[in-house]
Amino acid sequence: MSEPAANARGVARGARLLAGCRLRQLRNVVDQHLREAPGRTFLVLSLLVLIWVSLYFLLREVLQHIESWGLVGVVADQHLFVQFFVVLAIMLAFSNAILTFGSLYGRDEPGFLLSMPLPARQVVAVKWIEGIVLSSWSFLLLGIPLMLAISRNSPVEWYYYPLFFAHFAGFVIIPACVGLLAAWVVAMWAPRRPIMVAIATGVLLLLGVIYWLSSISESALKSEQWLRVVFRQMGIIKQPFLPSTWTAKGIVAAIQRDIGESLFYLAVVAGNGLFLSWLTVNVLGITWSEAFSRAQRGRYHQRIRRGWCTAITCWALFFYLPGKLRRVMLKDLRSFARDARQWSQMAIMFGLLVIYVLNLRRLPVDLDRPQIKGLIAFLNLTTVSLILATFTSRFVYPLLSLEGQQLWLVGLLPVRRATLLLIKFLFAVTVTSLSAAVVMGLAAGVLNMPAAFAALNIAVSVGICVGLAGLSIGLGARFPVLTNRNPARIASGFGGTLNLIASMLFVGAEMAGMAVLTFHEMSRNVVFTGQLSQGGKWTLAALLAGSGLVAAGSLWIGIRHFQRLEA
Amino acid sequence: MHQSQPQPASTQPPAAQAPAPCVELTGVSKSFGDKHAVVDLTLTLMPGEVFAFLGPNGAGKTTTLKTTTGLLRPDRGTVRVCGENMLRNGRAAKQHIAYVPDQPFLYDKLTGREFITFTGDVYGVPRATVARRLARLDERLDLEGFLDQIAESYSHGMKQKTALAAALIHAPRLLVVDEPIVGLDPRTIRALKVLFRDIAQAGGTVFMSTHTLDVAEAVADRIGIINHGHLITVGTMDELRSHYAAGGRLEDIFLTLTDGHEEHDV
Repeated sequence: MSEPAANARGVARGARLLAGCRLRQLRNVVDQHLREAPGRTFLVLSLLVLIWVSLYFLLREVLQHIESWGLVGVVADQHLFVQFFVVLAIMLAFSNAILTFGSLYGRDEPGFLLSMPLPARQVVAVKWIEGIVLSSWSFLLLGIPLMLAISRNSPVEWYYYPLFFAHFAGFVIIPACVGLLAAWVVAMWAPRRPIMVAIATGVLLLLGVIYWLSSISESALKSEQWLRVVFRQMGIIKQPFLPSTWTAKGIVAAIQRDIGESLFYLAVVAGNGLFLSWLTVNVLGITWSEAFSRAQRGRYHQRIRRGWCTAITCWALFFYLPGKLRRVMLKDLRSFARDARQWSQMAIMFGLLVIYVLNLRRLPVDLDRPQIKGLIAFLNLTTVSLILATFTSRFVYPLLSLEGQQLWLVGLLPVRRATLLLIKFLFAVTVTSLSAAVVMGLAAGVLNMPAAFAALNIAVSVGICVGLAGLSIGLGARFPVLTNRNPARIASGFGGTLNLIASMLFVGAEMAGMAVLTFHEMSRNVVFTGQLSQGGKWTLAALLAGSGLVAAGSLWIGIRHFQRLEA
Repeated sequence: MHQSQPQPASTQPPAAQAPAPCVELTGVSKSFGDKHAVVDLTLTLMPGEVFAFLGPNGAGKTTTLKTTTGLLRPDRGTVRVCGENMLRNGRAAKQHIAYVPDQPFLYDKLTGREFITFTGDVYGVPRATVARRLARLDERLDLEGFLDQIAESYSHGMKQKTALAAALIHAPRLLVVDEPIVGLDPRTIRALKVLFRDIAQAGGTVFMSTHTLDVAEAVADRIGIINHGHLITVGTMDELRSHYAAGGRLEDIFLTLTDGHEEHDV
């Protein structure tokens, strides 16, 4: 057999083996979930369907509003799709880059694969397929609701559906390749701080978006006009050489029953996607060994940390704790401060909120009207609470699982387990309350609210932080995951999902009470006199008591279970 | 600073053994930023020998092993395995190698048997041969109790045994093992010592790094000691004893040569 033929057969065989290995793992995971926890699996799947259906109705409503405002041209001129695909491409490229860096240049699996006689291109090709499969989730989660919402609002032919799917599938190849290439660039030329590079890139992108948003929010327009201005100014990203534009044009052509044009753009996207794939697989394949070797260099090159900054912060924040407990707290604070993934996401979320708050005066509404002020303050509190619920579910919930994995150490400490749990609770409350109080205080200042109403909002936001932290710590201790070191996976398991739902329900209940309080006070027009009514005071007390009860109840459940936990 | 800088013994194996070397490291250097992990290392391992690589933490043992297996590319020097240049013809070289790192990797969601079969498939070993060899390895390493369980439930020792079995499934000419006995029970350690000797007797080469001097002394044909990236000495136990006359025990020789220095693990 000739050498190229032998190589081709080898590539196909290796790819089959690796793909088969992946499929076997997937089969084992499904089998394990169905056998060991069918109820949990069903619940998680039901929640996914719920999210999916909600998204469909949301998109349908958005499209109906666009139509009712006479903005059909926004859809017809591909504006909507261009923006959708640009945002999707950025998200997919980012997530692919992060995952690829671990799976091609990390230590464990890449080291194992690289030590075997597998052709590098074959391994990269499988990672490329994995990237595309991962990106295809976006079609299931976002694409199908969008496709159905469009067909609900516009009359389409049957071929619209396969064409939409084909355009989506053709498009996701490109961000998958961009993600692979980005990971390769970091491994080759910036291996020491891959996370910092990702964060810096994300922050730069975010700053660009903020600058652009602030430039278009300066005009005080009514919402329909504002939306028109937004879409017109967003035309800057509707460049003829961008894949998002081709895909948008192809989908619009499919909606408008122009099969020829739709197929033309499909060919353009798929052709470019496949060429980029060929280039990516070859470049990464040829240099895999070199890039892996360089990436390992970063792992050995850690800067020396004295830790005085975290020590001072810990003392300032928790000076009231006994020294022994403060040292345990210092350990948690250092873990938080040195995990860029944690603080960066929190910083980005709250940074965005601060920018939004500082731009409140630019909203096209009359902020001198007390009712509007009250409404905006209520919406601010809702937003902050929902973000806090997401944050505590993602970052606070896994803390006890991670601690539980070190039970051999934790169990030997001369500190009661209940105390350890309370320390984590206190830590979470402090971090979240400070962030919430800063945002709510800023908002009160920008809205020029009287001190009593500002204090009311800050008090409720702190109360919500207490409840959310209690839920996450308590349920985290009740449903610990002791077999996984990945916080994201811990948070996405059964307990994490339950915690997220419980947190959302808790926020919903608190905000319902807050809505009653705010609108009752607004109707009596006393909110801005600085005096709460007697009923208002009782409602506030009930809200704070509710938060306290939720926190106490969750912690009690968590403590009971955590004390019985065995190493 | 070293307490003494003795002249290293020959880095070449006894000439009588002759045939083609299994591993040839020539002038290999590897740095991580300012840290010189391995400096101008030259070492030859022959078929049929067990070579133990000793050194304090951070001395450069793991870097040398990883460079030998092609996981790390040397900044300078050449690596040849079974006559193949690792940089130019890595795939051909890796066909002869098996590597078990200090933290063995298994796919969490595969069973031990599935993992070993996958490894055999990658090396092109027929399934029947895999089954036959696995049965033999099972007898020696006592795998049967857990081989069909998902690997995420394994203890460190179980992972280590499974990784060793996977490494040996294609009957490699060179077995590279980093800290092979950590986490293993005494019975398995004994079995492993016998296994290493059997591999060498069958013409294979075992290149292992270890901190357990007793095992090195009992199993290895030759011992190399590395410190601060420099290969200080290489020789048989008898050669080391006669050269350094440091009480006759490997522990004494090791402590004399390495001067008790420790650095970060490399």
